[in-house]
Amino acid sequence: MAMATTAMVALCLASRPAAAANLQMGTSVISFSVPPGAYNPATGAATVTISRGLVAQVNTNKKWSLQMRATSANFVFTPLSGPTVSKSVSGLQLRDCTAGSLFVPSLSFTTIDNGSNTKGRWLDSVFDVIFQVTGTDPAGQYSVILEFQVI
Amino acid sequence: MKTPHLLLALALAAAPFLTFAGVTIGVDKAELITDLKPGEKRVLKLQVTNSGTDATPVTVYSEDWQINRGEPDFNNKTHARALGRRVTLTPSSFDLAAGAAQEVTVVVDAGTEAFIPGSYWAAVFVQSARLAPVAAGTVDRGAQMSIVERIGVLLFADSAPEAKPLPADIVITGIKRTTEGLSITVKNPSAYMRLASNAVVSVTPLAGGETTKIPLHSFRLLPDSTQDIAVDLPATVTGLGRSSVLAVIDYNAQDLVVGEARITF
Repeated sequence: MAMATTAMVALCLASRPAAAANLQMGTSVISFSVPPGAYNPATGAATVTISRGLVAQVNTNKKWSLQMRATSANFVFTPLSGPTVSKSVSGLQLRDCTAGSLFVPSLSFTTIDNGSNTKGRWLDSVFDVIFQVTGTDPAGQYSVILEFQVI
Repeated sequence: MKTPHLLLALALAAAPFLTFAGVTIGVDKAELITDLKPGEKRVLKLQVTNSGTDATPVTVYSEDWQINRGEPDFNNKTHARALGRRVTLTPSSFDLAAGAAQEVTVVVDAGTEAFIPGSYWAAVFVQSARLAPVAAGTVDRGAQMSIVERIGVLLFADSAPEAKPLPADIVITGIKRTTEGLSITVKNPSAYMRLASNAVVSVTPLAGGETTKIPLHSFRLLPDSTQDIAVDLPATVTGLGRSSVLAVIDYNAQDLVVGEARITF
C-alpha cells in the first residue's frame, strides 16, 4: 500500500453541520419476577429472559459508542423476610439481539454497541435482558442501577 | 368465568414488565473546543434538549477520561492533561419538560498553573434519570433494573494553540476491508487533538469505470494516538473487483493527508 502526505490539487470536499447527539432508552425501569414454573426442580436455579427488554436509540452525526456499567458490584437486596445477602450483579446479563454477544454489568464501562454517523436516522440497539437466580438465593427483590452512556 | 381471569392475573403478576420513559435527551454539540491560558477563563455554551414526551430531571457534570487504543476510556481517569477539575457547569441540575431545552454554561478556569503545550481534556456528561423506588417484594424472587442515561460531550482545551496551517504530522497508516465496509487507520502523533474537517474516500476499479466518491463526516483525532475510522460502503461498490481506494483527509494543514490501497470488492 502506498502512503503519502502530500500536497494535492484542490479537492471539493463538502463541509457538514456541527455534530450533535441524542439518546433514548426505551425504558426507565425494568422489573421482573421469577415465575414458579421457571425453577429447575433439581437445582432450584432459574433464568428469566425479557426478550428485547432493553432498546437504546441513538441519533448522532458522529462516531459513537454505547457503554454500560453498574453503579454497584452487588444487587441491593430487599428480603421478603430474613437477613440480607450479597448477590453479584453478574446475575444479570444483556444479550445483543443482532450479534448474540453477552454483556455482564460490572463497575467498569463496557462498550455494548458502536457505530458511525447515523445520518439523521434513529439507530436501535436491542438487547434481551436475562436474570439468573441460584437455588440458594433467598426470596426478595434484587435491584440495581445501570448507567448507559453515549460518547 | 373466574378461571381465565385468575390465570390472566397470575400471568401478569409473573410476567416481566417495562416502564416506558418517554425521555429523549440530546445535546447540540459533540465536542467543546477552546484554548487554555493561565489566569483566564473561557465560557462555552451547550444546549440540552428533551424531545421525549415526559419531563425528566437532568444533572450535568464533568468527568476525566484517558485515551486507550485511540478511544475514550472512562474507567481510567487520572492523567497529566486532565481538565475536569477546571470545569464549572451552570446550572448543574434542572428539570426539563417534554419538548423543552436548557442552555448550560461551561466555564473552563485555567487557574494560575503553567501548562504543557498541547490539548487538555475532560467530558461534560448530561444525565437523565428518574430512579423509581424499589418495588415491594410481592413474589418469591424479583429483580428491578433502574436505567440512567448519559450523553458525553468531549471537551478539549489547547495550551499554546497551534498556528494554522497545522503541521503536516497526521498520517494514514492503513486501509483495510472490514465486514461493515472499510477501516482507515490514522495516526496523530502530536500532543493536540485535531479535527478532520473533511475527508473523502474514492474507489476506482482497476479494470476501468467510474470512481465512487464516499464523503466522510468530520471526525476528531485524539492526541498522541492511532485510531480506526469506519467507512460505510454504498451498495454500488459491491462487485467492482480489484480497485484503488484513495483516502484524503483535510485537517487544516497546508497539505492534505493521502493514503492509497488496492482492495477487492
